Amino acid sequence: MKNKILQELCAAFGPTGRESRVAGIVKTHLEGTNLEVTTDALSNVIARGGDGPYRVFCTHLDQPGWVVEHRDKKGFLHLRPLPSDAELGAGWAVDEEAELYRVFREPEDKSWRAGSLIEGKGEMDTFLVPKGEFEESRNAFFATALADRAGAALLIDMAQNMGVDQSAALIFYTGRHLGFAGLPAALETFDIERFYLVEALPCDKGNEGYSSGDGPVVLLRTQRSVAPEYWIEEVFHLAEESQLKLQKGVLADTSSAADSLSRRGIPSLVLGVPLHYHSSRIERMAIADYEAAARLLESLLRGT
Amino acid sequence: MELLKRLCDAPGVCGHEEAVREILINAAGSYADSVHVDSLGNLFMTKGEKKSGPRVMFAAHTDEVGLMVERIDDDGFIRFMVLGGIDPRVLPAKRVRIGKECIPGVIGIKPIHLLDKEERKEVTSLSDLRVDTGASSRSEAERFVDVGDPIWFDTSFEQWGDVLKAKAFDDRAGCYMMAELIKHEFGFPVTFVWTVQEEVGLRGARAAAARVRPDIILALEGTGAGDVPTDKDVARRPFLGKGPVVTILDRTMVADKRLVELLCQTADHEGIPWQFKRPLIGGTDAGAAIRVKPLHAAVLAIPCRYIHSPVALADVKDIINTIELVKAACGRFGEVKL
Repeated sequence: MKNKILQELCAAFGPTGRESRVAGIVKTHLEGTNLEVTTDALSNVIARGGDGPYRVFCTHLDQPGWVVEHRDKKGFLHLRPLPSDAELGAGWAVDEEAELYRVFREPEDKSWRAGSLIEGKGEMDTFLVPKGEFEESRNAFFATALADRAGAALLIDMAQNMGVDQSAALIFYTGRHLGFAGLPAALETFDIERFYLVEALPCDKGNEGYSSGDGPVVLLRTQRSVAPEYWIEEVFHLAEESQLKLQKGVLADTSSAADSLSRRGIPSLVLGVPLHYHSSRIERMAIADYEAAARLLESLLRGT
Repeated sequence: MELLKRLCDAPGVCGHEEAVREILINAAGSYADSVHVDSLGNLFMTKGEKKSGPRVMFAAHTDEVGLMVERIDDDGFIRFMVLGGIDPRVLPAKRVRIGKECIPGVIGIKPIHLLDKEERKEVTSLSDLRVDTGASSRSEAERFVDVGDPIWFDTSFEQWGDVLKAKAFDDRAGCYMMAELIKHEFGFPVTFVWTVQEEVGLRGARAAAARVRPDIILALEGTGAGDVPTDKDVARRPFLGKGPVVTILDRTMVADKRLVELLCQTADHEGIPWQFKRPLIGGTDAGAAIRVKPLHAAVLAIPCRYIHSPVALADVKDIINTIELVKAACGRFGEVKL
């Protein structure tokens, strides 16, 4: 059976700064759970159940995209990618109203351009994202924005299975691709016991120490943070008890929310699901890894 | 524009904003219910504390990009470091002032006669530039200059019709606009914050937002005009004289969509010209504030041509229109569902 929530999230328009539609989907799926759900001024969705201090599970909502910066005399739109190093590739893109654009790279200087199918469409405040696709094979998800939405789908799944007596907080934050803009403000009211970042992690280079199909990943270190050893042991112990495959990984060349948190004195542990073709138009994730991550989160929720 | 002239001419390199702050206290303090300066040097003026409605913080930064004395060579030349984003290409052969006694100096450069072919093609690196005060030894220079002294561009404010010429429109223009806006009566509690150290990482605004804890922040800025000459068909906005500049997103934050719509619609309604800023350029105090607490943020700026250099141009009409737009938009805050 298809993962309907993940499919819905991957199809939703939600570039950095325009996450309200994705936030709305998340909120809808959290209704009816045992959690109190709020949205703040930055469109962060925060859900909590029970009393603090909380085990916090956190993921982001936004996806990479483009913003229109200029319309040239020929009518082509000049785009700025967000994040600036996003390599989403040429192809179809959509705006908030689902209007189609064809995105391509200027042959001379490799800058991003787009042509609208409707003449005159696309103003300075237009945001674009790659047109969403979602396929589910026997063993893998193939989707647009899978890196950005798998975490949200996992947390929704966790929330829907939470008992009334369980205490936890979930943060779905905005602005991940703009210096984790929404995250610091989302933390301000929390008394934190443990902070888990739930993310999809790239595994295309082959030197990350983990691979797709071998289970979820605990990051030993990110660019500017190191996970405490006792905590890693704790999670591995829990995984063993639940008979789950779990891998260790290192991601020292990519910025992570863990870096932003460590600057604020908040230790965090990154729990990831390996992902191929990260930040491209179609990413791939092993269903077994996704499901194992869901079970691991369930175990963490039950706690040690 | 007398107040703007005094603000632009005053020295205010990051961390040395006292002179600007004094001008503002004298010019605007009497319109505030309370005035406070925090330990960083942020200047707060509050009005309508007992009014209901969202708490609004206006922010403009008092600091400007500049230089700082790093050390003095044996022969009296001054090595310096840059405070804020300055393109090294704009520095050579510029007049500067240094320290409390405003000592004059010039950023020296080898004359063309002494340059070989290769040197003529290169930009002199920062480490090779020195400020020359005329001192012939370290001990002579040390009589007037100390390590850590601020160095600022020696540029005087001038008005040519609607066009203004000065240093530091970024962000003395914002400081000026706030000093005018504080005279206005608002229907909600407002705190005007003239922040410090924006140019070296938005430092003052973080502390200011933590103190004020606003629901809305509106940063008033001087932003880089893109209308420099080019034959290419590329983005050139914002344009000098074509109205207040509205930010959609910059490198630090995404402006609140509802506030952006309010500003644009109000401008249209009032017949005020306006323009969007090019996306993903620069950052402002609003970007620091949203990292302190969840709040609705927007940025409104005047376009300044040749920003972050010894001399920039601005347009009086843009300043007046920005002030009018803020007043009109604030009158419609109640219409926005935040």
